[in-house]
Amino acid sequence: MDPATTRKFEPDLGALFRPARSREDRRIAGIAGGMAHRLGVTAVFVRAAFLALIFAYGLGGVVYLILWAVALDTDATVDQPRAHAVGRQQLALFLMFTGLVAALLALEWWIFPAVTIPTTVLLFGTAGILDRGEGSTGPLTQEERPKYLQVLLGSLLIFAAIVVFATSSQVELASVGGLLAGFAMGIGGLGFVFSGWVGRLFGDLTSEREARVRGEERADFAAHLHDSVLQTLALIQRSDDPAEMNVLARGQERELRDWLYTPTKDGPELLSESLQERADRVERDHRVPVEVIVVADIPMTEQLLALSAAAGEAMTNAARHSGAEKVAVYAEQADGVVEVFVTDHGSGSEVVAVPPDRKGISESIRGRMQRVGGKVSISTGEDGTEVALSLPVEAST
Amino acid sequence: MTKVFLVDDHKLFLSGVLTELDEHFDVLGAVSDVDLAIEDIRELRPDVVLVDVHMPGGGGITVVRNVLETHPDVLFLSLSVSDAPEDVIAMIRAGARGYVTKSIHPHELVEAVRRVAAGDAVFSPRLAGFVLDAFSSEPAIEVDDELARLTPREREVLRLIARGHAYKQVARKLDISIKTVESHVSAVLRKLQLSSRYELARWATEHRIV
Repeated sequence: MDPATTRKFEPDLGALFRPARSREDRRIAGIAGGMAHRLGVTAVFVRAAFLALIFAYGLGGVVYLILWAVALDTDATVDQPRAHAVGRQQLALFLMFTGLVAALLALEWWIFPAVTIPTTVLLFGTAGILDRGEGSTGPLTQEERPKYLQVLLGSLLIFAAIVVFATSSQVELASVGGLLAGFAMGIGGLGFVFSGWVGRLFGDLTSEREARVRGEERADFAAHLHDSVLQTLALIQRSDDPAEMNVLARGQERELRDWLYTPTKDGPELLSESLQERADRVERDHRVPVEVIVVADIPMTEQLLALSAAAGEAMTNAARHSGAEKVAVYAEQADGVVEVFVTDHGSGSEVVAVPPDRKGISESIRGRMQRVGGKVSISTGEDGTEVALSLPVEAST
Repeated sequence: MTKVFLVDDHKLFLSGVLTELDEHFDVLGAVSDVDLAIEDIRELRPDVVLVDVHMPGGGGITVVRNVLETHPDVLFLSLSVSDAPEDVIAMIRAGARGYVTKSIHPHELVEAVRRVAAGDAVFSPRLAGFVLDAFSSEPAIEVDDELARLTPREREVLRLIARGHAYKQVARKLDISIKTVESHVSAVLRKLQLSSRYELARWATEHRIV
């Protein structure tokens, strides 16, 4: 079992007074997600509670807005592992909520109790069935599939709601109300029958998309680590001068910190600056001069960043493996295409020497370019090697 | 043997280049002063002068301009630590036949001097890049000055040079002879020196050179 779920649940009584917003688990502002996290329940119940309390003369909405206004900023909850309430605590929370609703009813603080109370119960029943334990958004795994007992309880609640609904509408709402109730019941029933299917379908689609996005992020992450940390580690292994190792390690540490903790830091503004920065780094790390020439410079974009990174990797390969005295980098923008050529007059062994399981060419160059819609062609011969990268861009003036 | 003269205010560098070139050329002298250089060049009549850009007393440009006024057959090759566009373009416009940076390898420097001595122009990748940059945007208005344009072939040759290829490799890639590559490069150099070209002026303005 997942350690996070076996972790002892510690009720956090101050939770309601120290609301936190969840960045990952959010529909509006992440209040429900954050609160659910604190209470150790699935966010869907908290959302249902907020929805239900809207019927108490908008109490749910008001509370939500107040919490939003005073909420701690996002990340407070995210880095803590999620403790999950066990059945008894869930029951306690449910009873507390029921008590609250009962109190509100006694105070006559509820709009159309005859309609909205059963709706609330229905809401919770559905939530109970749809609850997937951890509240994850990924595809259903075996353990996450709804438990029979849970489905049974949920169904019972829904059935009870419909019965109450039907009887109360007959007694109290008579002609107009009956029509309304019948209509609402029909919609509710259809909604219930299909919500599972539709929800599951949507859930699987979005989770698939999220998985793909996560995969791409991971690939970019891996490519970055390969270009920086792994390269530096390789350099350190090859170095036998403690002072130089120290310099390399410190430089890498600084760079990694920058990358990890200041994601919005201003990078280079122009393609030429970005390429020059990478060339400087290669020159410093490998002691091979890299000359950068840019014709018709353009401002950096996300895609150009990938292009520049791929070019940087090509420079590193050339400086490391080709044995060339220098590396030439030429970038040009013409006719809506940015082209970058990384040329060396070395042995060409960087293409042959790098085995396919090493990430250099396949991932850091080809993968990167493919993800932004660019192309790579590598030609190698007795004159050395040339890596040509091209990327379509918006026509610029 | 080709007669070579050196002008550079950096003594240490001067002596280094002197030993490198001495094996291949007849080095007539080396000076560190602009006025002295002009006098000596007029007197000694070298074939090729290697001249630094930044020197007290007016710099390389003064040397090139003054000598060319009286002795237009002297060939100048700029040799500088600077690769700033304003320096490169200014030297070429003054009449230098080539521009190389001091990071150049000794054997490449020898090759560059030979090429200039043979009447050819020496285009470093960076110089080729600057020229392409200056000509990169299509002129907004029609310019009938034919010097204002690069032919497609010239552009192709410059691109390959800018990508770091040697003349020999450019020739092979374009399937033409080295002589043809040289003539394209010389044609571009002539355009740079002679034309009061629209693009170059605009490019210079954009790069805050003038």
